[in-house]
Amino acid sequence: MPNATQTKNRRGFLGDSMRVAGALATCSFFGYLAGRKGRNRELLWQIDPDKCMGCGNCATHCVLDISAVKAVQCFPMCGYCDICTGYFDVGYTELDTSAENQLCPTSAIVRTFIESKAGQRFYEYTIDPAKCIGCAKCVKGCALMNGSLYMQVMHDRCLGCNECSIAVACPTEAFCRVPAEAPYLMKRQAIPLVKKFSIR
Amino acid sequence: MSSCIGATLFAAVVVGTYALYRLDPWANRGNDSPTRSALDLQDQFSIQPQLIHYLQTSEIPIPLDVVRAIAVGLEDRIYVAGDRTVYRFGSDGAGEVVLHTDGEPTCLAIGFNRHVAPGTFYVGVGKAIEVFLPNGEPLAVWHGLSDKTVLTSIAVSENDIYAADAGERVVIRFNPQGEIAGQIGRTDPDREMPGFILPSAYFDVAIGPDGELYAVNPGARRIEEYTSDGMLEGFWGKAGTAVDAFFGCCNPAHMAILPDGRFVTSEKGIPRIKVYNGFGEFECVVAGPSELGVRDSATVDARLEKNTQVFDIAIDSQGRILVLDPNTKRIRIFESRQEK
Repeated sequence: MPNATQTKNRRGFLGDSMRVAGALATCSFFGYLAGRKGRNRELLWQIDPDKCMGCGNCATHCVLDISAVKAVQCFPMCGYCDICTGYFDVGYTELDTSAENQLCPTSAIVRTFIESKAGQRFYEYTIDPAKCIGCAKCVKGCALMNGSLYMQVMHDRCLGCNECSIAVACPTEAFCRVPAEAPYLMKRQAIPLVKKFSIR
Repeated sequence: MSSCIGATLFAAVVVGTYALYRLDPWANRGNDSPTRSALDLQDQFSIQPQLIHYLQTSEIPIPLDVVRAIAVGLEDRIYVAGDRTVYRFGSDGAGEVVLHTDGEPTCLAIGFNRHVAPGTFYVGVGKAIEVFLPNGEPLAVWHGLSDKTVLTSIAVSENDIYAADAGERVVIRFNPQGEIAGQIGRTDPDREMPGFILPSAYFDVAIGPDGELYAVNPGARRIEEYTSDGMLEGFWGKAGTAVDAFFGCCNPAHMAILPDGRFVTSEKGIPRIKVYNGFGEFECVVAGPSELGVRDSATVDARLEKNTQVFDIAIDSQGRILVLDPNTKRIRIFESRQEK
């Protein structure tokens, strides 16, 4: 007399096989998703420019002799002014490039004439990162007017310390971790302006 | 032998203590770079007392979250635009909401006695001007401005309404029906019109006692006079950090005209309110940073929300200078010391 296992037909066998394969595929899919979510992403130190007050600690607290933090210029926010309060000392005597009239202690801002329009002269201000020590004097000066200059960690110099000594010293907790795919941050105010210029 | 061990231990303790206090393995004490990054504004913040000819005599708190503009209407009533309303203050300081706008107002003007529609409110909201009757009922909305429009100021003459558009960098002249009657200040070398330079969205207009139009050209640090058909009549103003000049890239931010034709200017960056005579010669200071409650430490904070905001100004028929303080949300009223 045949037993129960011998009564299983081919259709039943194929159905069981499909169910087992489906369960295995589902487990594999969710296992893949879980593994992907748990994978470590590379994170880098960066300064949130909307939280940075320009205290100057970036210049003095980086483990590097010359800080990895530099000033950057957001051109869509810049007024290209002839009298830039981020470039000229507030007590300037002449609008020239002499050291006593410059705010930057290392002359790291390059002032380039662009055009003359409506009787006014317009200039472009760019940062020479090799000279910038990250003191944020220009950032504070620019904040008196348009606020287009701000501080960022330069990842070609940053050592990526596990505990960033500037982050420890930062009075406004402006230091944060950002994904390596998007290592630089913009001011909130600049984002729509940059989009507008990009569309053009 | 034991003394040798003791000396070694003592030396080890000394070296260990020195290392503990002197060395900085986690760089908590920094990299020994000089800390000379302070922005010294002391000279600009301290104004000689003999230059200050005005005195704050009273102040009125404003029950709004955001305050944008101040204006004086009929019977010297003070109006403040902010949030989505226009608020009115009586002589006793009591306030009430006069009208509600469709969006956040950015500028405000009220028809004066000789205006074609006395008491009418003209409120800049987004890319339109909302017009209200003296009792606050909506009358009209003037559209027809461009997509780039940023309304920053409105001024009314006897027959016209002038709106400063910082986006298009022109002053737009409306007739009382809300039709655009002309544009003033667009760059035109043939008419020797240099155009307005606006590095930031501060662009003020005002009407002089004889109906002439004055507009601030902040990027040029000067005030310009125009005819109603847009001809440049003249200008004055100079750039500099001295008290008689306009500071920084773009100033003054606001302007008002006294009943006798003298100018009152309000600057941003280093907040100071000053009076110039009708020829543009510096006369005196109304209020410097300390009179406006701003300390120099506030200006060395680069955060946008910590920046000192700009003080709008208005003038009543008695020549009192009304300063809208957005930091404390108060109206500060200044009067001449001589008249006091």
